[in-house]
Amino acid sequence: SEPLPLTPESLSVSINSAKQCLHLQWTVHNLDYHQELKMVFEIQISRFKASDVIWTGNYSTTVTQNQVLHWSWESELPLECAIHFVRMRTMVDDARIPVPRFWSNWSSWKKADAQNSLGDHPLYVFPKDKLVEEGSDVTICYISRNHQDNISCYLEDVLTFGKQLDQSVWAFELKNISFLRKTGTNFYCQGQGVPEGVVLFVSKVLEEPKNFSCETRDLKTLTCTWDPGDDTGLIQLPSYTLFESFSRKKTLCKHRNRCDWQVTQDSQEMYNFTLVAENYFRKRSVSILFNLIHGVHPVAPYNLFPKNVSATNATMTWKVHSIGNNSALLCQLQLLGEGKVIQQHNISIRVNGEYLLSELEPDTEYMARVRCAYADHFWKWSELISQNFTTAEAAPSEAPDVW
Amino acid sequence: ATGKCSGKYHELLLQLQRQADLMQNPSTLLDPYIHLQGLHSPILKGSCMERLGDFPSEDVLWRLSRQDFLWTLNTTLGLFLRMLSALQQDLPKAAQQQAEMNIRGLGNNIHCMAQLLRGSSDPEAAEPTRPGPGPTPPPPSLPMLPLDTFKRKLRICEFLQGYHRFMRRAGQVLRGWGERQGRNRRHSPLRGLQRA
Repeated sequence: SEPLPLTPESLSVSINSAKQCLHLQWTVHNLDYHQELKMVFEIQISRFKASDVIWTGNYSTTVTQNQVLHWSWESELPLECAIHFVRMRTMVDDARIPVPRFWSNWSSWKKADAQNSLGDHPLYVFPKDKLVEEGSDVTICYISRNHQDNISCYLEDVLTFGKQLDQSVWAFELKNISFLRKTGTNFYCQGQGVPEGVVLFVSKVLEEPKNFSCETRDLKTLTCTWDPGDDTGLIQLPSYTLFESFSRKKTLCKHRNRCDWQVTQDSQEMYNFTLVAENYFRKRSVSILFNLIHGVHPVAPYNLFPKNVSATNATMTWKVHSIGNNSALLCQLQLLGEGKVIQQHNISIRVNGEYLLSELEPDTEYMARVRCAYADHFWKWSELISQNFTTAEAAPSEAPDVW
Repeated sequence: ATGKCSGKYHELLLQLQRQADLMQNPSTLLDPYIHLQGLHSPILKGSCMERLGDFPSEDVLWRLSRQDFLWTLNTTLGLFLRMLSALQQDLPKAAQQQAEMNIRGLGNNIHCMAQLLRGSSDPEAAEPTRPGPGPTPPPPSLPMLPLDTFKRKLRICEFLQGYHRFMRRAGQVLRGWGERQGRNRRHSPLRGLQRA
């Protein structure tokens, strides 16, 4: 016997006004139990009247018996401004089924009416509180219950002209919308009464983070920093998440330009970091490979003091914050006289630093300054610290002339 | 209210009048709000009118005894202060903080004047500035703000407009006190109206 025609059944349409989306859900009857078929669905969407088809498209998928299928359609026009109608038909699109293949009958039209929740206000403007990205196009519409009303609409304070879609519905297509202020761009219409309007929250385009780099100051915490670029201008800031692919761990960053990552005892030396910036519209990501040992930027040494200062010598002592298991640090000690570096010494230390500066001039003011770097792999000097000192006066060369 | 009170009636009254004059000026709060929210177009500015009931009317203020007037002024501004903190996200920060300081400063002087009047034997202290039974108005309630951002912007605009208008009315009543004290004559209601 002829196989029963496969038809889309139990089509239902739900409305998401905020996202301006129609959500379709349906099943396909007459499929055999074990059967899995590739099928194509032709979907038609009409506006105001079923006969006014405004969109047609195909959706292909593999279907099994009693499987509930889903599909969404985003309307450029706010759904509150028009009744929409949806229908579909289907055809097998599976190589295992011989040609010719025929379209099923159309399903009946399903109505999506977002207007039934509106009150009896004389004038409505939609969409309410829409989030849009700078540079995009936005369609705004109004519904006027009072057809004699002479209504003017404005984008901020610029008179704007629209297109009549239906007896009581007008639409305004705003092209290439730009960011104005954090509190939103005002679009409003004035009829007889108080102006009615909407606020468009325009977000600047989320930028890709720049200058993404990481370093550690103590081999315990890694700090990654980046330039987030312009603030997107929305009260709700983008999120920044740091992923590490070797350990498969991630952390949500508390700041928009830096993020800390804990280095655990068993943790690796090589890191493959991906920083993902995300807002309502976009995701931007940048990645770097980072070797922990190659990114050590020691904290500045401290307690730099002169000890045993004589007329021509001075012993400088200083302390450093330990890194790892007292890893070696290369410290550079400089001696400045009258603002010029007159001596420079590189000293490798682990905990405390000490160095004898010699060949000094008596009774002379000097400055000593020191900075350190990670000896195993030089990457960055720490910040400098300095200390002034004055050499003692020279002892008299001959005995005093006492008579 | 904190701080030491001046015992001089005229000095206190002058201070109250000055503060009211400052606070009735829209440039202290409403104008910065309008700028922040982009409501400066003629149509939107034009629709930013005080809504009846947000603040005690002029007629009510004139009919209150001085004590009741001070109580109403203090209660109303206390509620407005609460609203200001609820509207932090909507208001320009500097203007909001300045308005709060102005209100607290006025509150101190209201406290001192009320204290002064309580201690005064002047019969007029208990009399309304304008004859006739002055109902002690119920404290104004805080407006319900719409969810829709555009409507919310306009509603807050109306409310801030009301605040400035209320302070202008309060200033006029306070000047009424000053004139009456000077001429020591019963305050004629028409005078109160002529000034409206």
